[in-house]
Formats: sequence, C-alpha cells, structure tokens
Amino acid sequence: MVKIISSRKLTKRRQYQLQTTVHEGALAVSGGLHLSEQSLSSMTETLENALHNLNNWVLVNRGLVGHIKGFVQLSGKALMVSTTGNEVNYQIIENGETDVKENTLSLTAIVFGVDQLALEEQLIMILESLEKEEKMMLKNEAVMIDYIDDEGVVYAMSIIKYVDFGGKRFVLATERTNHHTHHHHDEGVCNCHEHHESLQDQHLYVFEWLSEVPGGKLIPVNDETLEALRSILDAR
Amino acid sequence: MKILILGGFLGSGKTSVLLQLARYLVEQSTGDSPTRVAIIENEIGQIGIDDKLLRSCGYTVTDIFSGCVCCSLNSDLISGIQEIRKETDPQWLVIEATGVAFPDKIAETLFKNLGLESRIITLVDAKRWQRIRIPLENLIIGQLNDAHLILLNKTDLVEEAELLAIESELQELNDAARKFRISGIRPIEAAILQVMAHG
Ligand SMILES: Nc1nc2c(ncn2[C@@H]2O[C@H](COP(=O)(O)OP(=O)(O)OP(=O)(O)O)[C@@H](O)[C@H]2O)c(=O)[nH]1
Ligand SMILES: [Mg+2]
Repeated sequence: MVKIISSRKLTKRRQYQLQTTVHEGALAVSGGLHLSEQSLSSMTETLENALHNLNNWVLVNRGLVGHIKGFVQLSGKALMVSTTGNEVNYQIIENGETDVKENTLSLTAIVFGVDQLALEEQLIMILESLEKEEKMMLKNEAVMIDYIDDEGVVYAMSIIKYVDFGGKRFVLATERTNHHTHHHHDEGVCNCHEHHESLQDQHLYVFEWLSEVPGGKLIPVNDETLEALRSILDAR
Repeated sequence: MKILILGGFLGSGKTSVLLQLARYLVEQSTGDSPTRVAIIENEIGQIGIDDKLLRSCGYTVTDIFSGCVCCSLNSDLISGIQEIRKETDPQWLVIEATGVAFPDKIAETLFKNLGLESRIITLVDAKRWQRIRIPLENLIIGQLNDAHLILLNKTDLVEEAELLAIESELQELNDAARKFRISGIRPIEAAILQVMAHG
C-alpha cells in the first residue's frame, strides 16, 4: 500500500534526525535534539511525562512497548530515562564524560504492532515539545503557541516567562498579534477590547502550562491561583 | 579472549547487568596491569543509547547500530571483533545483543567465522514474562536456546508464586542452563557474577 505523507514531514525528519528501522516485527524509531546548557532538571520531568504519554499512546493503539529510552548528554553529566510500558525509570550520571562537544538528547522508541508513521509522529511531537520547553525555560526565548478558550476562539500567544509554583508550572504570555481568529463568530463582528490596545500597554496573561500534552497546552487559571501567583510574579 | 554474550528481550536488563559485570571483571584483575574488557553494543535503533550510557560510566564501547548482529549485521560483528583483537587484545569481550536477537545465532557466527567459543547469558524479565511469553513466543523461547546461564531479573517487582511459576517454565524450556534470580538495579552477588564469567 502506498502511503501519502505530508511534505512538511521531510523537514521535521531532518530537523530531529528521525530514522526508523524495522526488525523482527519491532519498529525502532530514533530521533535527537541539540540542547543548550544545564537543562537536566527540567528535562527529567518533561521526559518522564513524555514517556508516560507514549506508553499510554501505545496501549490505546493496541501495540506493545519493547523499550523506550532517552539519553541526555551534557558535559560531565548525563540522564537516562527508560520505560518498558509501565513505570518510567530514570538515572542521573554525575562525573560523566567531560569531553562533550555538544549537549544532546537522543530518543529511541522500540514498539511492536503500531503504525510506523503514527509512531514517528509521536516522536516528532515529543521532540517538538521538548524543544519548545527548552527555549522557553532556558534561553528565555519567546515560544509561540495557540490558546483556545471555552468558546473555541483561538489566540496566538507568545510565552515569555515561566514559573513553577505549588508543583505546577505557570507561564506568562502576551497575545502575539492584535487580531485573533474567531472560529464561531462572524468575521468582522468583534467586541473585544484587546484589538485596540497599543503594544506599549500589552497585558501579560497567566496560564497553567500542561507539558503532558504533546506540544504543550495553555489552560486558564482561576482567580485564587492568580492571587497566589501575583506576589511571586511581582517580585520578578 | 573470553566472550560473553548478553541476550534477552528488550528492556530485560542487559545493560544494567553489563555495567555490573564489567566492573566485576576489572576489579578481579590480578597482576600489574588491569584486566582489559571490551564491550560491543548492538542496538536496532539508528541512534545508540546504551553506548552513551556506558561511555558516561567510563567504558570504551564498539557499537553496531541499526540492525541485528544475529542476522543482517553479522559481518559488522566479525570485523568489529577482529579490530578489537588487533587493537586492544582484551582478556574479555562482552557483547550486548539487541533485545530482538537470538544469542545462539551470534555464538554460531563467532564459532563458524572466527573459531571462537562464547558463553550465552540470557536475561529474563520476570515482570513482563506473562505479557510477552505468548505474543512473542518464537523470540522469547529462541533467546533461551543454548543459554549457559539464565538470569531471572526484576525479581523485586514480582511475587514469589509468580517467580516459581516462571522458573518452572524456564526449566522446561532449557533444563541445562544454570539459573539465578537477580535484581539488576541492586548489586548482584559476587558468587553470581563469578558464575557469569567463569561458569
Ligand atoms: N525494578 C527493576 N528495574 C530494572 C531491573 N533491571 C533493570 N531495570 C530497569 O529496566 C529498564 C531496562 O533496563 P536495561 O538494562 O536498559 O535493559 P536492556 O535489556 O539493556 O534493554 P535494551 O538494550 O533496550 O534491550 C531500565 O529502566 C532499568 O533501570 C530490576 O531488576 N528491577
Ligand atoms: Mg541495553
């Protein structure tokens, strides 16, 4: 059977060095990322979540996890994360290799009984969201993401800062353009104030950041959370 | 050069055990110079993970990626071993097979092509035995074939009754092999490591 694949996947495959081998009914999909400095602690949690999600995805798709493993190589330090379908194990190696030219993340998923393209797609999503988080948290680069509210309205947001509080991760984001797209409203009929604000008095919006969702997801916070966060945010 | 082949299903604990075994072999060094242990890592993925872990722990590793030395890549294995012999001529060579390899085929390749004998140590994942025993029967049973030693691993995660049931199945599948229970995330008894190395 011939499969039709989006041409954008070519770019993604190259970007994340995605390669697949098939052996004894097992699919082994590998990919990688270049990382910036000292990202071990944030990587651990994110990778753990990503592997949990991939386990669930395989389960839902009636496949069988052979072994999913990730390795983060930094200078003098390394992290190994691994799962065979249930719990996710990780191991931090101190006093590791110091002759490391580049900080990297390598990821391999060996899985039975799932569709190859779908599995590759899952790996791309994991690598994409890791890259996004890394940009956001370490390089302090703005990360672009859409926020969709209860009404289905899509807002193009730029995340500019993150804070960890009470075991959760929150982000500060601005709306990227002056115009957002309305899915359910008539185009052109809009009563929103945001449209008419100048960039100078742009608002910073607070969201909770869900890293469990591939690519990450913004969800609104309630007033109490906002109040609790305000003192921390003001202090920065 | 003594050769040990570590086999067993994906994620059964081969690398965890290899790390302990390699350390044991080096610690057992007698005489002036430390025992030289060479490691070959075979992984089916294009990007190696285990080799990176081993290097982080200070070992030198020869790696063979993207396929299996028990079939498509057996010429890579032979040339890899010849190179190791020429360059470091170690006392020990430990080969970690992929989780989908048949270790007996690797041993056969080494014997036929290089005239080298090897010992097969097969890891069994106690936690996943029930889950994979039927769906992957050919592979799981094939991996026990001709094993000199079978290590029932991840015993920390499984109840005694289940361990006994697995052990009796293993006995039926390969009654000649010696069998031990281990937990690869904890220190393995020296007595067991000694059997792994010397029989
Ligand atoms: N609880 C528990 N976990 C273990 C034990 N041995 C290994 N593990 C974990 O199981 C996972 C797989 O172990 P590895 O040593 O990488 O297995 P492997 O056979 O080398 O895997 P592949 O090379 O991918 O086939 C890792 O997350 C280990 O930490 C054990 O005895 N008990
Ligand atoms: Mg391994």
